[in-house]
Amino acid sequence: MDLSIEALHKVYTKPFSKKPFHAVNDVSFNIKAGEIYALLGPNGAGKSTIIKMIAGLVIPTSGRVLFDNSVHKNYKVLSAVLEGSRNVYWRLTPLENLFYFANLRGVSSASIKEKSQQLLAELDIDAKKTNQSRHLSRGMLQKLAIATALITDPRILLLDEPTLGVDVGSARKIKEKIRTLAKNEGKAILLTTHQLELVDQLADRVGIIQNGRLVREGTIGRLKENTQKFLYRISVRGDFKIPPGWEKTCQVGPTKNSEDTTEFEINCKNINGLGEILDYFSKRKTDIISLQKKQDNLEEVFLSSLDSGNDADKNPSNDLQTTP
Amino acid sequence: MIVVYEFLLLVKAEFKREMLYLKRYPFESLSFLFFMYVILLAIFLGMSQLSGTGGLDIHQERMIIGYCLMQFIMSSQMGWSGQISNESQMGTLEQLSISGHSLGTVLLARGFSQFPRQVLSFFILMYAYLLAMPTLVLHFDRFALVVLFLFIIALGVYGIAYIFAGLTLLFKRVGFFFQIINFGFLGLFWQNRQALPEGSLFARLYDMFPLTLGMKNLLYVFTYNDPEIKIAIFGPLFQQVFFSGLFAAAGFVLFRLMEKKARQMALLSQY
Repeated sequence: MDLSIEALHKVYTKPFSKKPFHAVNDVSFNIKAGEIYALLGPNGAGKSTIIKMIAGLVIPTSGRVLFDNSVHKNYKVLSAVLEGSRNVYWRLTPLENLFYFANLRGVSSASIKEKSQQLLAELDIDAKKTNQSRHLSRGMLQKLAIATALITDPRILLLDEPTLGVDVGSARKIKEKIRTLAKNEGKAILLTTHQLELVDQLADRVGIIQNGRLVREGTIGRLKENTQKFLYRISVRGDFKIPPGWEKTCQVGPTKNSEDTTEFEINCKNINGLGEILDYFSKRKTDIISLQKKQDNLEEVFLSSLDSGNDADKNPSNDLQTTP
Repeated sequence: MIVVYEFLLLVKAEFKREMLYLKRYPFESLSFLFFMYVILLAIFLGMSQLSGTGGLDIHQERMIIGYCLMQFIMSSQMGWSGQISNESQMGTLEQLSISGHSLGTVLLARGFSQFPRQVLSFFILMYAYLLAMPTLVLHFDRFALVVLFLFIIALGVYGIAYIFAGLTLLFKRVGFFFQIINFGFLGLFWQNRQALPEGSLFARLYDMFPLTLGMKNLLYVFTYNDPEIKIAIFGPLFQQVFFSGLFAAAGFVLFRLMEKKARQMALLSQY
């Protein structure tokens, strides 16, 4: 099942205040069946509000949420893990929680007997399945919350910080499970997290949210390509001194001398800056040992998107382009 | 059919959860009953001290039935609003809200699943007072009729509980306000209906409000000394069904409106 969000907008007006607060501002994206879409953004950017609007917990001021291109309110097709461990009954055991949430969603206990055991085993909670959930660790509770979300086999899964406060081993289990759910079972998954490594490993596409607006969107590869940075690592033969004129077009990092080579990084405003530097080397017949384009990591992409988002906020006429 | 099946499944799940809590925390319910029991005895003791040697000139049956009815009502009204408060903190309220059932339906299922325990508590309290005050004249043999009335009264109670739950969704910490209202109900239950001028506005309201009407009917069932009561009860029974049903429907509609407002203001998970 595909999930589409069209021009979602949420405005809050505080009592006794005439100034409206735009928590989510004209956000549109879609997630296809079998796809993992990650929403990134700083705290208070509007990620959780978007998830809650998709789940029907918050009514949007305007815009639509479509399941398979049609508006309907059958929320049984989706499950959500919201803010981690706060999703289960602490006085019930993990097994009782699974049965309760299945019954709540119209699925009988008998039909999930096998699946409940399988889920608890897959997520390493089976040893504690008869303990009351209040005795479980935070990581265990998080995994239980995921298990309860999966017990009725939803077609759309909304995961708000699924690995928050979880140990390395459990985080890996959760990661593997999320990947399997999308790739083998065809679920559409929306994920929010501050763990960029998780996004890098899991997400097919990423949307970066700032101040309620989607400032950038695309596959991780495309986003990395499109951060508009010309960052290179250059290694030349000999003891090389950076000429003062270069600073007009490129920022130059500290030089590192070793034996017969000098290594440094340049970050140019545009491709012409790199051309000028290469011309300089050519005219002086400097021997270039290596020239390597530095690939941005996701963190740099994220931070640069936030910078451009801030610029757009200061100058609203300068519309940001989202990358499809 | 699917809707009915899913609702029954929900009632079953809630009943099972209720039983598990009862089994795991038996002293929670027992201590509540004991606390309620002692309070009324203390009230009786205080009243007898105040009246001196002249003895008590009160309708003990009315006081006891009214008091037991109040605890029956309290466990629904306070229960629903308390659950809304707790579960919005726990995060389970959001899970209930995306279950495919409306929150109102979940609360109704909880009401039905708690009904057997509430009836049991009602009778345990009544019987305990009967043991403490052997002069009481109460027809415990009309058990089925009492349960039927309690069920219909409960529908009216759900109507009011819906309003309380909706207000809790919007304003959160309002528990003490509801407790004051419940004591107000107790005052109404202890009001002698016969003493009200017939046809007066207060008497009419007393006969329309499902809780006071229920009190009047329960007192009638417990104390009316006529073996033909089953025939005489049809009129009050239909009157009770009508007003309780009306309150339940109105409460449900108001709750839906307040729930919608809470969703607009993103209040389901805020506390």
